[in-house]
Amino acid sequence: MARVLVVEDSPDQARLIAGLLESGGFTAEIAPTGERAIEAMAKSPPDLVVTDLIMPGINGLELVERIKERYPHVPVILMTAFGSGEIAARALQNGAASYVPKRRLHDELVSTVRETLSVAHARREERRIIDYLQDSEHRFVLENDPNLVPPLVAWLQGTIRSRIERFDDTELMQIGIALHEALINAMHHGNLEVSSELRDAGGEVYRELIEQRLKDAGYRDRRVFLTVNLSASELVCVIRDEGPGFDPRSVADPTAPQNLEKVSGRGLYLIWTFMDRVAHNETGNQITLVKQFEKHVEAVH
Amino acid sequence: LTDPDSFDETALTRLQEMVGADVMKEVVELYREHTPQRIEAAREGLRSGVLEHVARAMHTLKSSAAMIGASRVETLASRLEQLATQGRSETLAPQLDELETAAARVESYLRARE
Repeated sequence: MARVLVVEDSPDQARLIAGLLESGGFTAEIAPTGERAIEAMAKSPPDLVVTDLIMPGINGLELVERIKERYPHVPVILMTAFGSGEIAARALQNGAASYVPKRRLHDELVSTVRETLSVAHARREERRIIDYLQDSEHRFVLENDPNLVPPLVAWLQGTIRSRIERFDDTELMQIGIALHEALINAMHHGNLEVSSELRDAGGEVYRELIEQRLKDAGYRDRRVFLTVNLSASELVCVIRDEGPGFDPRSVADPTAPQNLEKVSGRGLYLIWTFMDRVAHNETGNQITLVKQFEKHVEAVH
Repeated sequence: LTDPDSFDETALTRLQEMVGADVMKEVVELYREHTPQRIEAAREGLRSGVLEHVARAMHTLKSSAAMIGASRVETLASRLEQLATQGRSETLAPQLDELETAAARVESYLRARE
């Protein structure tokens, strides 16, 4: 059973967050300050940390930086509220794995913890070496099944790891999360045409519509096409769905911290923060993600 | 008392279904214990002119209220946080009074619900 450390100075919120995690099958421990979190981690590092951002003493941003330094394998999820957008944006740039708006904790905390752990664990387990590979292109055709995403992310992380020496673990996790978000977007929003805005009305409605669409061949039989191109200098992932697309200009600026709170834009926000270049095609059914490796040492081969 | 603008009962019920009655009881007790302290911290911040303390207390109260469905308290705390952040101390006192009234309503609702 995975252990989650909850860092939250408000006792009522901390109890509720721990309760939600317990109901999701996790063991939760509470640290009321960043300092106490660091002490607890020194005794026994948890599998994942969920933290508030605005706290007396060490705030969420500093905590993320310290965890990244001492425990790079422990992913951190931020809990955001209106007013903490700026600091959350910086924490994501400095190594946090994901975030959940506090207003959406009941609907999204447990699933975000699960997804983040699946990416983090997969990364640790997948250490295959692909020798003598200079430049490779891989093409996948996927059904609209989110269960396909974690193994695919693990494969990609393992492939990058085997080619680029001393690759930063946090960055590898962030690439994994960006790809995860882009693939889920393509399945749910692209192919099944279930609007992410429905989540604002409650996760139940959102999930029910997905179930319904999966029974309808018109939606179900659409596929997601992923092309991964990996060279020593960069990673390029192109994800295309068979849905009607959307107007990419209609999305609120995904790079603006104030848009962090828009549930519907969360995936795009993470993608834009974690990748070096992001582009949509005109019709909005294809997204290209680019991560450059120049700043890293040369490829192994 | 339970009009949807001031309290979203479904939020509380839904949470209780997720975390169980015992945890929810603890959460509500902690909320009831800490809310007066947060309002007092904001008043103290206003008296001493340290608006950062007002903003911080309201930032916390806003999320605590949102979680249990106290919508009116959440809205007012959020507004107070913004006003304090913008340094607009002249408008804070009447808003804080309004918040206190809304919080008292939630308190009587939660007490009756026990």
